[in-house]
Amino acid sequence: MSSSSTTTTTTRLLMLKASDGVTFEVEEAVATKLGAINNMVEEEGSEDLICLPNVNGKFLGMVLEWCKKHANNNTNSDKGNDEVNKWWDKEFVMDLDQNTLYHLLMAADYLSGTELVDLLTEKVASMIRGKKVEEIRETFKIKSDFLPGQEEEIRKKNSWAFE
Amino acid sequence: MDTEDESTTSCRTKRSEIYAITDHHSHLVRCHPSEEFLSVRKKRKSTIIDDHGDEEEHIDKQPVFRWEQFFMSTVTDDLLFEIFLRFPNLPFLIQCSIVCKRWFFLITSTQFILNFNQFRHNRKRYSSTTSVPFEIFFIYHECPNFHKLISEKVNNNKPKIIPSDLNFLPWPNGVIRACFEDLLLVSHKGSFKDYCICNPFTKQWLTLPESTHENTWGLLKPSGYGLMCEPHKEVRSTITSTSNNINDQYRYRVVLIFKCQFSKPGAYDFSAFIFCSETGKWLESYTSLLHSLDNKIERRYANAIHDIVASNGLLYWLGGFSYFKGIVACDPLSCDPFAWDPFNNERLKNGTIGHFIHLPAGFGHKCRRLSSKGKVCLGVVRGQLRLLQLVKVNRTCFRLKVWELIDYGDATRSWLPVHEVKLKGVDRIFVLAFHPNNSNAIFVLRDHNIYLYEIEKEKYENISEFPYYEYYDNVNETAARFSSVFTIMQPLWPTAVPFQNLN
Repeated sequence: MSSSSTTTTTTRLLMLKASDGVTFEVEEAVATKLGAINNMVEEEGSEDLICLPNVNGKFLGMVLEWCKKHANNNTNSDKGNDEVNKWWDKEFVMDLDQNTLYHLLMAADYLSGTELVDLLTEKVASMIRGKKVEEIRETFKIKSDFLPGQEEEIRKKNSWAFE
Repeated sequence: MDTEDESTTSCRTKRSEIYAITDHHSHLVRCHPSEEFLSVRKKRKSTIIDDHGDEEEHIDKQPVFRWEQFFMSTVTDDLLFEIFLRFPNLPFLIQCSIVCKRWFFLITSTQFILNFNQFRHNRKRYSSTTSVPFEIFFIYHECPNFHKLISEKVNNNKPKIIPSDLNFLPWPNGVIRACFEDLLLVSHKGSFKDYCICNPFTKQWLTLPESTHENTWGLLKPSGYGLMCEPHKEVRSTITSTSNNINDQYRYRVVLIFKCQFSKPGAYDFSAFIFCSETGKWLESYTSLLHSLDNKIERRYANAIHDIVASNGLLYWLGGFSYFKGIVACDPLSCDPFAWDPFNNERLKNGTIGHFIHLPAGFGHKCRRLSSKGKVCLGVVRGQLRLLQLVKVNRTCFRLKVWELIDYGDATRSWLPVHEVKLKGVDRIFVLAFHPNNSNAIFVLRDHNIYLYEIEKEKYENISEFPYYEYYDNVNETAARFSSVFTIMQPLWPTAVPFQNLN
């Protein structure tokens, strides 16, 4: 079941160069999971080396790891594979430390990896979910910049939501 | 290469600003948090970023880098927006709106509210695994002490019935007249001119200007009431809209139905008073619907149209006089309050778009309209219109039939038979309401008790004693006949009551 034999473009290899000079050689089908790269490939099809000055090698590597997993699993779309994918995604975000999560999110956003952004924003949301306002402020070091009384007014107007 | 390095952490479009900031702040200057962060990054431009933040900081002699501290100040609005979309519900979002001003403005923007609804809607896995919580209001006649049935919050919790009130309203004795999604239309007891719309979940309400229908028709009491509300289409399509005004987000109609008649062969007409939120005014409306029934001309007023329900943007009710003849469907939102009659320079007596749907084959026509309460029921299950009929076969047996209306969207529609079962060993039973989420369950009244009846399993689950048992009369079944039922759904994002600004 090799899908790469169907067209010539799928076997094409792209070189992705990260900000720190680290390069990755990946199949086009994998790299084009990222919207930004897909656009570049479509626009200037001849170029095989793509420089990504805004992404560090470590995080680019992780993003590509994710792409590879999802590009592979896209080729045969039975339900079992879908489950595997979900499980893999879960594992992928579970052990991320916050620093990595943050950089990955920025990288995924920059590279327009929509599905990966989905996954990562979901993770960030899950970290905020269920927290109280004070806890959120504490966690993210956010200072309330409301004028005195404004916060109270919003609380009062929407008292049902704070019950 | 180095200078581009720090952009990993910032929005591409802001790169020029970053340069400007870093050029002028050679050391850490306390300014905007994001600028502060960017300065930090700039200072260690020569080092390769890796996740050993502490080690790096040590080299640069900068304050310890902590993800949490900088995340919120450097993340773009777009990403923050995406994160907020993934919050579980409105109450949590509102709580989060007081974290800081930026969060407040993002969360309360029209664009966000519409996207949030859309996002929830598109996420099938949410809607398929969790059913929407609902409440069913039971009202006996016009008695202000009503009860409501609350859906199971957790799967194993069965629904329960509790006394309820609308004490947050300006009038002490409001009578519920209609419902739409999570909104109720309430009228002042004893008055058929004063109405208000409220959301019992958020306790927001709005009173409408007095209706003037009496002057036009000399009629006091409407035959039926309808309510419909929708997010404003124009706002939805304008991504750049910056309006924070709730009035721009929804438009709604309150429909008071008066004279219904078969005015001539092949036509069913009704007159209505319609309140349009765009103008804030009541409008007289006359709608004529064509049908192919073989009908006599009937000009009597249909008193008390029961079960006016909304499904897929239309209001439906059972039409007919002595007997049911069909189902009337109308779209009150199609009533255009801005339409003018070019000849009279007066407002048109604006009609609505609608159609007359024939009853399904197999519907028993011998059922008299006036005694049909609890025997014929129109309702909405999982968003689709359903019709139910209970026919007595013999002393201890009923036949229950349920149909669902399938609308193919191209003006063709048909009735799909969903259930046909016999209820044996029952001598007296009334259908109170459909279960809005469970296609195989209905709420019934039997022997002074409310049961959840699972149709295919023939299983009765006792919910509670009928709260109006003191009115319950075995001979006349008055309680069943005089009680009305309103089902409201609690969406993830409650509908804001117009004119009551969330901000």
